[in-house]
Amino acid sequence: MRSSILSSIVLHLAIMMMAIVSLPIFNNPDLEIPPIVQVELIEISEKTNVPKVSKKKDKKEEKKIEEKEVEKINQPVMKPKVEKSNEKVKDASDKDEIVKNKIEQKMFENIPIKKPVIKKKDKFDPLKIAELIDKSKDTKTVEEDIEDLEYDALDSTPSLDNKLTLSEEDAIRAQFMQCWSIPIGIPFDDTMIVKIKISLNTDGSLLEPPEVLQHERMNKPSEKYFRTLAESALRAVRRCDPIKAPDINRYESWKKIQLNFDPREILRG
Amino acid sequence: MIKKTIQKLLFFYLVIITNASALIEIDITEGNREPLPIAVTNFFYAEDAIKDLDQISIDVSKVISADLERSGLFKSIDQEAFIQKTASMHIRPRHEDWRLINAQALVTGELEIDKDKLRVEFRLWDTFAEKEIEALVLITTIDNWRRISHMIADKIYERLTGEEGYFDTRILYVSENGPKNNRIKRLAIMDQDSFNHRYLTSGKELVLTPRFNPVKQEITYLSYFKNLPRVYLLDIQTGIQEVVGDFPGMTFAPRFSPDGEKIIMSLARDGNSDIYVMDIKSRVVERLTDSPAIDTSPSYSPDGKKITFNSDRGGSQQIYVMDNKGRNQTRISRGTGNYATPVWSPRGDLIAFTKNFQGRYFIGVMRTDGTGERLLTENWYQEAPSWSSNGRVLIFYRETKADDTGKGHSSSLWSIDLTGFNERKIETPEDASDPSWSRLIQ
Amino acid sequence: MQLTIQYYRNFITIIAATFILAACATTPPETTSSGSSASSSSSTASLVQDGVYVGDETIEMLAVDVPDRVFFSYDSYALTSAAQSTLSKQAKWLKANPSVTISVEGHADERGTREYNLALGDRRANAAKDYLMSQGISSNRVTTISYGKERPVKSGSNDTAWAQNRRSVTVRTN
Repeated sequence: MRSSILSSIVLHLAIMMMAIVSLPIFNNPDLEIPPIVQVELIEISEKTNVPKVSKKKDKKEEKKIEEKEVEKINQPVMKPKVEKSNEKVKDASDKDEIVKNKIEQKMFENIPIKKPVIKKKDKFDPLKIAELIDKSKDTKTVEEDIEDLEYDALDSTPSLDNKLTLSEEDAIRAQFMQCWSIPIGIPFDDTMIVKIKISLNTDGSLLEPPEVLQHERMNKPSEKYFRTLAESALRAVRRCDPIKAPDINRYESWKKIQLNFDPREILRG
Repeated sequence: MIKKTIQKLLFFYLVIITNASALIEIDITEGNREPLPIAVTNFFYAEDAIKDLDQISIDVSKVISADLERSGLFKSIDQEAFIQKTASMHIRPRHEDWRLINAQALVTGELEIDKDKLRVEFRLWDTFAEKEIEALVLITTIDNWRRISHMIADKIYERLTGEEGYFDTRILYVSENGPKNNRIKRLAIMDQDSFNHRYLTSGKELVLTPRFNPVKQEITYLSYFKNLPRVYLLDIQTGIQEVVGDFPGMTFAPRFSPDGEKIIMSLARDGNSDIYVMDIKSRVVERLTDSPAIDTSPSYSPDGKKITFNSDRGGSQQIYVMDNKGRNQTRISRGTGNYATPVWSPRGDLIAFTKNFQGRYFIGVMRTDGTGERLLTENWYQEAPSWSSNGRVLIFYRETKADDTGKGHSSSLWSIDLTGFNERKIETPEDASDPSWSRLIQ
Repeated sequence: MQLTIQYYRNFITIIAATFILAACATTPPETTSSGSSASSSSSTASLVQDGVYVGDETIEMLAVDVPDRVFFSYDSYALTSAAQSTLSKQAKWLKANPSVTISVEGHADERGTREYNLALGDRRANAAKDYLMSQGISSNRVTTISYGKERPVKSGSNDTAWAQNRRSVTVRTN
């Protein structure tokens, strides 16, 4: 018994090392799992939105809209926008409270089932590992083979750590792909990738507003391309809300997901 | 000892697994490439307005929709499908209503007459984020509503695609009619959407290859006035024409420098064509190339520091780049076939060209060092690409093959996206060629 | 199964045979087109030799036996021996009529960009002018102008029409 556990651990480690050394995904810096930085969540609407509360429309109060004289030939250059008035901030904070309440309520509804991280070692099949090792011997094979290896390796893991299966991941990916209208007018730039963290309820609906991890960049005036891209990704997330929920037994593994909206290959043309 | 090591390793393994399971990352590298659905509503106006704004209200929305659709990046939703139709939506749209008909963005607006001037206020809404993302008020004379609409379309385009719009622009071209062996050619100018069309010359003289000054209401072109083919300047506002310089031979293929102060062109002398540049004010002329070959179709880079042109000095027509003093002339086109009419993109990163390969004609783009050649469209005959102000679209002209009697020949303007998609014919009253696309109107 | 194999084998044999035959068939026409044109069945094709028009359909006469134009091959401004003999006749005629001044108009066919063709037309006009000067005609009696591809004499989009359009035409200016 003891020796089988030992061998199991050793073999697991061997696979891990192999994966780290040989699988291309581990060498790709883009795919590194980034530390989750706690970013203050600011609704973009706080900054730019018109007050949601319906008011008597008073044009003189609407300072946020610039006015300008347009002559027939001499057209004006677009001026920078006037700073927004204070009342909007108040509105937004009201809204924030509402959102918070909503979140608390929902949290209550979805008490996550805590699960041990490692379990069901018995499902582990040493033969399969042996197979993989065999395969890895001829690593000088074509890329397709490596991919196969990767898939096999991953396919064998869900039972170990409660992860989403590849097909579940694919199902989620497919939904967001369908929802996402890529702003293909954006010029190619290698940093054009938007990372959005979403938290989901057990039914697949958004638990809280999606969070753009590169929040600061999004709000820089010089990053209008990135802002447009991030907004398109946010629209995709909201358009897809609620997503078709994966296996509820693995809720713990998908209640938080990071979506990397990466149009670079498309923009490269 | 071994036990400890195993424990350590086990711990390491645990850390990795827990980390991985804490946050699944999903890469979305493809999207829905359908044009973005957008709802453009008719702009509202008070019923008691002095002037009846009914038609303008509808037309403004039509022009905006048409501009956006023509870009290929937007799909304008049929107004029949609209659920919310009240004036209140300009202040507070019911976003759920708009999401229901699949609108990702919504355009609302209001018209008002203020001291004989038209005041147009518009807002752009993100229906999923449920927020206003753009708002603007424009005031103009009433009959200028068309330009206002283009400017609004530009704002919307810019906000949703991230790049500058190109709708408040004009197209200058050569209007053609008559039999192929006796074509009447006139300079014509129109808005980018083919409206406000007018002729600039009478057709008495043969005119070719007009180009916009990028900063002034001025054009340069080739005219056969008095059977002396020379480059001319025409002030669009005053209608004053003048010949450019006093050259001992045919001057042709003119283009302005990016600051609009100089004209670069070819001078043909004793059968040899070289590239010259002339300062418009001082009339000082500089010769930039000196080869026994045909050097023509010059085009400045947007920073004015470099010039691309085509030359057959190597035995076949190829594209070259040199600095603005004519130094460091280097060939950049590398593919098989002939290359011509290089035009530097306003973004600076690409050069558009005409390519002739095995009897077929292509419009393509390459990087400024000649790498990354991409052919966008192939046809029997087409040439003379000109960039949209934002560097996203190319306009060019295409001719159809005639039969043995000359029937079937036609010439028309077309546009195509850098992606090679969204090829569109541009409507003109008669046949058309030699297009030049203006920068955004100042 | 065996039948299909048999079938394929036959098929391959047929294809191979076709290729061999095709190889025989393709080469000879190439030689005939550039060689003796008398045997060619198509009369229009024979009017273009080595890319140069050799007919007389569009030619006008400046005087008796003085043709007004010479023809060029594609993207070329080289004078053929026929062109040189035509220009020699023009030079003789100009010498006999010393008061005549002329303009040489250079033209290109519709293939090739407009701007390049303007330059090419200029080359052709000047090639003709240079030849006239080499025959003793003073340069101040001869002007040149290029029309590029703007004034074709034939409107068709075919080899013969193009060959007729690739020309330089001598026109009296007084």
